[in-house]
Amino acid sequence: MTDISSTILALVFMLAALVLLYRAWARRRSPRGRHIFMGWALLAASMPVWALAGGVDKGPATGIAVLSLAALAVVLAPAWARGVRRRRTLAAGGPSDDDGEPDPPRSGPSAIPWLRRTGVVLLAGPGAFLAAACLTLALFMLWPGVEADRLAFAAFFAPLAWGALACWAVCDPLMRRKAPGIFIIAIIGAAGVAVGLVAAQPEPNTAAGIVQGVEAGAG
Amino acid sequence: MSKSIWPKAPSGFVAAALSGHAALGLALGALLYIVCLSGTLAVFYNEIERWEDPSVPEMSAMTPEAAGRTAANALAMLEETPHHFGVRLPTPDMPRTVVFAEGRVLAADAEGVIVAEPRRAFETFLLNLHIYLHLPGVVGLTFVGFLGAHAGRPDHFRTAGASAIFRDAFTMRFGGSKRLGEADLHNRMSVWAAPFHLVIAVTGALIGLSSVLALFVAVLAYNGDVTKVFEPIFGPDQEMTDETPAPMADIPAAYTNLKSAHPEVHPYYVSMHDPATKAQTLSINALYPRRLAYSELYAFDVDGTLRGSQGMVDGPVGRQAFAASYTLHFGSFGGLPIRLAYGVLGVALCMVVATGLNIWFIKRRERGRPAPRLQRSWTAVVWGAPASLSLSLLAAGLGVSGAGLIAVFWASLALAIAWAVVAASNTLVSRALRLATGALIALALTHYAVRYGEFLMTDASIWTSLALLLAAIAFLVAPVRSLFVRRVAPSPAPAE
Repeated sequence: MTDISSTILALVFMLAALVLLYRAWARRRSPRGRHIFMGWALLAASMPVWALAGGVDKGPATGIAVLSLAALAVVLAPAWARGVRRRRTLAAGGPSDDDGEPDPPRSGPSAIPWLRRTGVVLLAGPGAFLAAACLTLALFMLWPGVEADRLAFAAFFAPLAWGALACWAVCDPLMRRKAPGIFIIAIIGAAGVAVGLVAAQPEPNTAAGIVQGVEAGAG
Repeated sequence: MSKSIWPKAPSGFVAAALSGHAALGLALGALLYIVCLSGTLAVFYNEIERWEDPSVPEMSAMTPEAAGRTAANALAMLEETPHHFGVRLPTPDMPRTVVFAEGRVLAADAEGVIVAEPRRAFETFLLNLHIYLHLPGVVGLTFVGFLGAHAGRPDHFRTAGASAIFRDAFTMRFGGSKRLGEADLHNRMSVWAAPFHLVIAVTGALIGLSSVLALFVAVLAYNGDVTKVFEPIFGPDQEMTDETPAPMADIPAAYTNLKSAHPEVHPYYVSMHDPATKAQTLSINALYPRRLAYSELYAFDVDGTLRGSQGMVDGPVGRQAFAASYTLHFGSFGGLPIRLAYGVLGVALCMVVATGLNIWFIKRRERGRPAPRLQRSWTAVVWGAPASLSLSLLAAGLGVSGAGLIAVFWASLALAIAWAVVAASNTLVSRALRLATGALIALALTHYAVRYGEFLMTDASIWTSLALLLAAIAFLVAPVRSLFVRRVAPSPAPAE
């Protein structure tokens, strides 16, 4: 199969998936589960075809960009046209989007929300970062793969872990749950780092370890 | 009700603190928006570089001998032997030959004769804004990485348990309630562009946070030597060991040997350490047409014998993932169509950030806690950032560069925000700044046409000039139309 025919096939899969999802979700009160399942299945099936068309990693990346664009076009184009018509009918005389409101009086609630928000900011920022860093470094130290894989895994994992923990810090209403939770994750990570460091030490009871130790001492 | 044991803070202090929190959130949102906006433009850095100086010679290909001559001629122009020295060869996306040597940039013609030092002030300014937010080195990179990590937070994608987000995935209600319209726009773009946005956020965070992560890894695994951390990915950095002059490594032979060993690759960057010394090294980066990796790195002996490759496309998965993250982030893997797609999706990401805070302001107002000054400041960021970028473009055309350009951008943005705080209305801020953006782009284009009139119809200039013209019109249409549309007062409600 040529690159062009594979690309066309992948586009057909993707458009069919979008049409199915659109039709399923257009019935907002009773969306059809079968159509939704088929839509997602077709989307998933289009990825290997994209890989065939554009390369094992480049193809799916292209497919994802095309999917996002096509879906935005499907959603935005008709709605934009409707919006323009509606704005024209409202034309003048419609409500202004201006704020036009005076600034509120400077009186606020108690200090608790302020303290709480500060806590959330600290937890989602430096707190979540430290916990994510500890966990990432522990995985880096303990992961058995080659160095390049461990490093790449750590580099991808760190921002995801930070984001996930920050999400927890922001979304969970219970400070007494999230604060200790994030602290415990940091401790687990730090313990993992310690275990990794101990495991990385040369073993003194083996010949290689003794030679290594002697060389280190001489150095 | 039991009385709190904590002393009650004065209400004014509490209100100021709450306002401070809102301002902090707004500031982070503003910086994220600026990173997204500059990133959307930075996708087109090749086009910007070509447009900025259309007088630089362009060519579709270069012979290996001409590549060798380019390196020799450039080296002869430099006062000292550079440690890092590279020759970027022409590609379909960037049909120019450019030499990079310790901060200097020299352009060559198809024969390898050095002909110019191309103007790249705006491109450099824009890339530094996106990658560092104009902060120093690792600090800026890490801060942008922090913004990326938080942009990729799961709650921003609202996928966890929010079935309505998917159920309403195709619902858009423009033209009705402002809040509904903004919310629909925000949610639909968040859902359908989520794969793209997640990829951009994670790869951006990876690039940004790698340096700070490397500090920890170096302490734990490499006796504090940060330079060793990325050796498993990119290979070791050569240290100068012998400065004794020597004949320059044979670039034409290396190029020819590479093409005969791997005819499918496209060599595009000749990289040397300490060229024309006994310590010199030679490597060539080559593009694989069907792979995401930004390149494969091939190492050569000084006589051009191929020694081996770094394994960016066939080495450990981690190395391949690292090599793919750069092309994925900058959209440089599929030519102009992918860059255009990235441009549209980048605008969508800017709109997600902008509408997110707009919704927050509308909700505040509905809850009886409006913040008009902050809202106007936010509007000034949303429309002032493009205006400041346009002013920077104009200033770069007039010869401003480096720190001057950075000052122009941030000072004008600060001025826009300061004005917005005291401005009469949000609509006025939005319209005035859109008008300014359109007018400034038009001015920059006019100045460009006067300066580079003879190159205006070249490939390097025409498409980007047209795109800028369209952008200027798009920014001008709405505010100019509003000047001529007479607003009719709403008819009074009938008496009951």
